[in-house]
Amino acid sequence: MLALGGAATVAAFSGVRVTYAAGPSDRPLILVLLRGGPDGQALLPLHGDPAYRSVRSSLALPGPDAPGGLYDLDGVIGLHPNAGALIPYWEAGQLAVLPSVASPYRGTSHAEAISVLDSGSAGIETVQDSGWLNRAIAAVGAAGGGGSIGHPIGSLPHLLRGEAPPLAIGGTEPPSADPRFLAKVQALYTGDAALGEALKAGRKAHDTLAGALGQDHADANAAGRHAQTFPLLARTIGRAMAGGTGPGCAVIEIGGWDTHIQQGTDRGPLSRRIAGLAEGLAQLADSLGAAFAHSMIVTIGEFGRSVPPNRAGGTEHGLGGAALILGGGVSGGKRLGPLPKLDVEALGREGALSPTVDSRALFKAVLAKHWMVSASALNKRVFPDSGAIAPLPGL
Amino acid sequence: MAQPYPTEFSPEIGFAAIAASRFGYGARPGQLSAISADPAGWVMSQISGLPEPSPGLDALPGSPAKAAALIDSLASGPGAVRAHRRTVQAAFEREAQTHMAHTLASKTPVRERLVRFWCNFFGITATDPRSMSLAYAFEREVVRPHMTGSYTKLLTQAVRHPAMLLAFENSGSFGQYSPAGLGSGSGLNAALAHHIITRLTVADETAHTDRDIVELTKMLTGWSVAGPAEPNAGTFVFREELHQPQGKFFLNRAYPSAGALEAEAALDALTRREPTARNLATRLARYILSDAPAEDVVDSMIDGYAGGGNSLRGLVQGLVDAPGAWTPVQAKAKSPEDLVLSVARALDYGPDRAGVTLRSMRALGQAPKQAPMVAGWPDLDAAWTAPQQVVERAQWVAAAAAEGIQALGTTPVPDFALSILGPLVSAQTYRRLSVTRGRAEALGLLFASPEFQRR
Repeated sequence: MLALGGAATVAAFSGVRVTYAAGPSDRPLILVLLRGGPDGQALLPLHGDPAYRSVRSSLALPGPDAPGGLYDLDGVIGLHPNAGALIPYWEAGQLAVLPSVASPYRGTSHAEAISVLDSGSAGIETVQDSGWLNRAIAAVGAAGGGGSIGHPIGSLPHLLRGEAPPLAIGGTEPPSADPRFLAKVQALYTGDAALGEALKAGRKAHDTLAGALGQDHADANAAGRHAQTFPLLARTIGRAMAGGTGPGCAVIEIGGWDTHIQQGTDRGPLSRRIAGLAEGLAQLADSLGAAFAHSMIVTIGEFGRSVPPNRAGGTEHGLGGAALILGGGVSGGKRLGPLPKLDVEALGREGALSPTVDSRALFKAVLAKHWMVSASALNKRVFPDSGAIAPLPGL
Repeated sequence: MAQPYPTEFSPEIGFAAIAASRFGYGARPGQLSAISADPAGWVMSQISGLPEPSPGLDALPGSPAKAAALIDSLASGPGAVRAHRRTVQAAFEREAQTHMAHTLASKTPVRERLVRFWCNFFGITATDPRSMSLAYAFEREVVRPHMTGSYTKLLTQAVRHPAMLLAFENSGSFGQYSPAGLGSGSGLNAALAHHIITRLTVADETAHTDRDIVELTKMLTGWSVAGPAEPNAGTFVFREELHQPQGKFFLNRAYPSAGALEAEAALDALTRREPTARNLATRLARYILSDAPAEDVVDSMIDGYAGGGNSLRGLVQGLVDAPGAWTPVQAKAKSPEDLVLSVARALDYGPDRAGVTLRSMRALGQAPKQAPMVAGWPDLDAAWTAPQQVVERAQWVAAAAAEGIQALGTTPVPDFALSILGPLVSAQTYRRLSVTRGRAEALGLLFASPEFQRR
C-alpha cells in the first residue's frame, strides 16, 4: 500500500504507469498522458458539424437522440456514450473540453511527438532533455521537498525529467502489461479449449499488430497496455494525493491508444478503453474527496488521429486531438479554444484535424491558474522562447 | 508453505463450492464449510424469506417524481430530452453506487444475481433516454419485491411501471375507435405488445400469430402514465379515452370489452402457457448453468414453475432439484459483471468498494443497467470470450490481484484457492499456483484460471 509521509515511498501496480513528483501538496496537479495518439473524434466527437457523418463515415457514433448514442454537450461537441461518468462534472462546471489541441510537432512519429509534447519545446529540432513539468516544479520551488529514490532517468516520463527529482515511480513492470503473465495464463488453459483458443488468438493478434506497426508503435504502447485497469489504480492515486501532505503532482501514462485497426464505435475495443479512461477519471475525482475542490487533472495525447476511417476500420496518426481539464476549480461546463471544422477542405494530410490550440498555451494556462506560475517564468524557464504563445483564455 | 493438494474432498464441500460459485458470486474465504451443511438449502433460503432490509436502497427517490420530470422533457422536444439526460446522470451514478454497495454487503448473493437476471430479462436500460432515470427505480419497485412470487404478478407490475410504458411508448398508443381515434384514425404502437410476446412470455414464433400482437396492442391502449399536471403524476393511469373499445380475439379466445382488465387477463393467460415457462427456464438455466442446458433440467424447472402456480421460486427450486445442475463440469463462462463481483467476494470487499467495482465492470464492457436496448446483455458465452476480451480479462484480474493481495494476509495463494473454490481447483492449477514465486502474480493466475473464470 501507499504510505506517503514527509518523504516518499511508493508502490504501484497495474497496466498503467504512475510517477509521483513534488509540487504544492495543497494544489494537486495530475497529468494523464494517453500514449499512442488517442482518437479525439471518438472521445469528443464534433457531432454538430454538418460534415460529421459524411467525413467520419463508418466510425460515426449514434446521435444524441438515439438509444446508446453520444452525449450532446453544447450542440456541437459531444462525449462518447461510454464516458457518461464525466457528465456530472460537466454539469457541475468542473470539466472543460478542448476538441483540437496539438504540440508544435507536425510529423507522424510517436516518439518524436511525445518528446515535443513532454519537453514543452517549439519543435523536434529544439527538444530539451528536461520536461516542462519538471521545470514548473522547480519554478514553484517544490523541488527540494521530496528527495529521489534514485530511478534511472530513462524510466521516467520525459515530462518529469530534469533537475527537480521525482518522488517515486511505480508500475513500470505491471503484470498486466507483461506478456509473460499471459503466457502463464495460457498454460492454465490447456484443458479449456474455448478460453485457450481465444487467449491464443488474442495474444497472436497483439503480436502481429505490434510487428506490423513497428518499434515506434510498441514503444508508444509500452507504458501500459490499455485503460481498463485505470479505475483500480485511480483509487490508490487519489487517496495518495488527498491528504494534503503527499506528492503535489502525478503523471499517469496509459498506453493502447494507437488504434490503426477495427477500433469500433459505441462498441468495440476503443469504446472499452474510453470507458476505462472516463471511469478512472471519475474514480480519481471521487478518491480525492475534499481535495478535488483544489485539484486539477489534465488529459492529453501526443497527437490526434485522422478523422476519416482507414481501410482497416481504424484511424491513422493525425494532428489535433482532444484534451480534458477536470477539477473543482476549473471554470468548466464549456469548450476551450476555437472550434475546428470537419469538412474535407479543412482537414490536413490524411484527414488530420487542424489544431486550434497549441498544447503550450493549455499548459501555461494550467500552471498560471493552478500553481500561480508567473508569466515570466512560463515564457522563459518553463517554455523557453514561447513569448508569442499566450496562455489559453477561459480556464 | 502451502499444503499438498488434498487427496480427497468430502462430497459436501464439492456441492458447497458449486452452490457458491454457480448460483452466487462465489464464496468468501472460509465460507464453504458453512454452506456444506446444506448446499441446496443455502441457495433456496436466500429467496424464500423476505429480502434483506436496505436503508440505502429505501432512501433513493421513487419513480413518480422521476417519471413526471421525464414526461415533461419528452413533451418539450429533443433538446429538452438531451438536457434531461445530462441532468439525471449524477442521480444515476448515485443510484448505481448505492445498488452496488447493497450487493457487496449482501448476505444473499443468489438473490442479488437473480435481481440482475430479471432486470436484464425485462430489457429496461439506461442507454435509452426514455428510461434512463427509471432503470434503477424499476429494479427497486418491480424486480426486488416481486422476483420470488408469481410471474403473473411480476410481469403485470413490470408492464404497469412507467419505465416500461415510457420506454416502449405505450402511453400515447390509442385505438381507431377510441374517443381519441375517432377524430384522427388509428395511433396504435405495437412495441410493448411485441416485447411482451416475443421476449417476456411465449417467445416461440410458433406459439403466437401476428394477430395476437395486434390484439394485445389494442388491449394495452390506455395503459399510460399520469403527466406532471395530473393527479398522481408519474404513476400508472388507465386512459379510457385512448382505449380501443369492442371485444378482442387473443390466443384463440374471445375477450369481451373490459377496459384495463383486458390486458391484465391477457398477461395472466400468457404466463400460464407452456412456451412461457420454457422461455423463462431456458433463459435462467443459460444464465446459471450453460449455453445449452440439458432437457431434463429445463423440464424440472418448468414443472417447478407450473406446480407452484407460475412460481418464480418454483422455477429456481426446479433448477436446484435437477441433478444436472450440480455437475462438477464448469460449463459457463462468467460475464464481466459476475467476474468483477466474484473477485470482490473472494477478497472479502465490502460496500466501500462500490465505486471501483462498478467502474471496473464498465471498463470491461458490461456497464450495469446499460445493456443494449430491449434485448439486454447476451447470455451466451461467445459474447464475452472473444480473443480481445479474454486478453482484457486476464489483464484486469492481474491488476485486481496486485491491488488486492493484502487482503490474503499471510495465507499462501494455493491454500486461499482451496478456501474459495474447494475441489473445483484442479490439481494442475494448484501446482501452478504453488510454483509461482510472486504472490500477486499467483493470485492473478488464480483469478485467470478456468476454475475461477467459469462457474
